[in-house]
Amino acid sequence: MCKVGQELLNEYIDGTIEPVAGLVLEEHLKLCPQCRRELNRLKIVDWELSRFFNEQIEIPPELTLLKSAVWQACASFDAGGEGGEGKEQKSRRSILANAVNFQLNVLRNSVKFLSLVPGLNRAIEPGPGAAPPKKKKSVLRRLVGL
Amino acid sequence: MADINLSLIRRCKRRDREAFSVLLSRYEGDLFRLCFKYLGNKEDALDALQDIMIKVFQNIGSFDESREFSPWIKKIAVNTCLNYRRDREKRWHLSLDFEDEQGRPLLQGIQAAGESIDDQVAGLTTQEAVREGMALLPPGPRMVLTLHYLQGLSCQEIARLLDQPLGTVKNSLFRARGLLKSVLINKGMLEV
Repeated sequence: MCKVGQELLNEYIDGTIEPVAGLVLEEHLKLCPQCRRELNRLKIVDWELSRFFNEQIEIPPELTLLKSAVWQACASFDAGGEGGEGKEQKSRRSILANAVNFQLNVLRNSVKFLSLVPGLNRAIEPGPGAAPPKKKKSVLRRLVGL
Repeated sequence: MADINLSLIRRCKRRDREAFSVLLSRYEGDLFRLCFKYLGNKEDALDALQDIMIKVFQNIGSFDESREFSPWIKKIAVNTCLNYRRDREKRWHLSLDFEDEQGRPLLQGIQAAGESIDDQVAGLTTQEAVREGMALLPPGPRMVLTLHYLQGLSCQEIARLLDQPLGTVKNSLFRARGLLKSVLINKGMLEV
């Protein structure tokens, strides 16, 4: 094909070509059989594509069933996420957590008296909320004043 | 696609089954046509449409009511179609060396039936050739072509929908036409 690009010809058949470019192209088409042929081919492709996309498509009757199936699947998914089985699982999990916490508290209270026994202070682990023990300064560091 | 009533969307957000059904009814025809033309067959189109419906259901809660609904659902449909095709890019093609039940190559079978390959090609209508050509197009240009011819969208509208620069969309459209032109020329259907 000559200097006229496919883009200009495509824009021409789409009707999106700049007015001045359109006039220049029309003048060129009068003199160039090659471009005229190319334009005609593109017009046929455009027409065939319009026919292809505009043919009647029958909407399948399965669509109604599909919609109802999607609704049911989504509704049960929703129920699983917010209520129903999910809620039950959540409550089961919280019952178990409460039971474990109760047992831990009983154990903690039953060994509390050990803190009063001299020499056993260090044996008892601090509770989860307790602050980390401060490091004792060594005698040398205390003397130097660091 | 006319834009939708806000109260209907709000009802859908509250998981109102009837509203959801009405909402989908307004779009299902257009969405099915889009899926069918892009994917090329009814089964895939229905599969893709099912995915679209599920995505609409799952994401309607986050839909921004200050925006139009139609581009939102169209975007879901376009992305679903593009991903659907990507997942199934490796398609099974029937080779002419494929053997039939008697262990005879397909090519021989066709010849035995008294029809040459040329006759087979000659029997192909232009529309069938376009359908074949569409299946050969890469996903991007095929989607641009579908949106342009089926939905009547301009290149600017397609660019907005696909989040692509205008030049890229124009390029895809022109390339797709060019590829289809080559298909028709190769089949001897574009003698001008």
